[in-house]
Amino acid sequence: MSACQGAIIGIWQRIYEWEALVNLDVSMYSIAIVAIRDRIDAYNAAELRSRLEQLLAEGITRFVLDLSDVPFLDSAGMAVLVSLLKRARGAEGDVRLVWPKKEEAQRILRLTKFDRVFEMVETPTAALKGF
Amino acid sequence: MSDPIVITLDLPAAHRYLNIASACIGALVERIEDVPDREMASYTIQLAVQETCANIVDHAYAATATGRISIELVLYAAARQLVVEIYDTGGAFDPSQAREPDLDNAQVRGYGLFLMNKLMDSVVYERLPGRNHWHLAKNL
Repeated sequence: MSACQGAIIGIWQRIYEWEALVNLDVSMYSIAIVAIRDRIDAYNAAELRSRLEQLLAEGITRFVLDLSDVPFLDSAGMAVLVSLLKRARGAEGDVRLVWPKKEEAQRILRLTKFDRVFEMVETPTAALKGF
Repeated sequence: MSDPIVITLDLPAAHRYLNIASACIGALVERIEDVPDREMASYTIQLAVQETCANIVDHAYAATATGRISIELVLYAAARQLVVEIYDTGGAFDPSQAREPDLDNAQVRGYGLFLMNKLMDSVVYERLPGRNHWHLAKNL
């Protein structure tokens, strides 16, 4: 199994670990919290996009992408984030990003002003407040 | 002045292998003495090279799956500069088609060249007979 496959399966498991059901109506109030631990680059982006599209197809429109442990983010990875944002907002949902721990990755989000387009938070728990 | 240190990579032009260039840059920068903010410098150069090579895979070699990318890492230790020379034999890049992203309206495409220019001290493209050459330089 490649490192990428392992990481993506890890993401998938964490989605269900973290899925927050904040009201009695599960279908209306579910939020997917997706923790990503690998590079989000031109190689991994397609599989991540596919996984996120599966969640959209299941009716989830609110996402917390936990980038805390993302070691590297390129423009192909950023394209996945923007695509998800547009589709989620188009369905009355939203995407919140947890800041990467790496200062270098934070710089890329600031340079591209992604930190103004997305709501940025420090932790997944903080992301759930008022979501 | 001492001779530059030159490391050459010849990679298949596929997204799958671009992390190899990142790893080599990381390992090289780790061995350079007295780099202020080493992590930032390393990440910056890795990202610029990643963006360049991903564009080569997606655009220069859009019509073929068998291209190669040649990458030369050239460390001018005395001048405290790392230069990356990248060559491919794919289709030419047309700078007139490159547009700056609208940073106030997030978009799916268009950040690659923007990031390269923001992160490096110099980014120069030239079309040579039968191949493309990207020259990236970063002062350390």
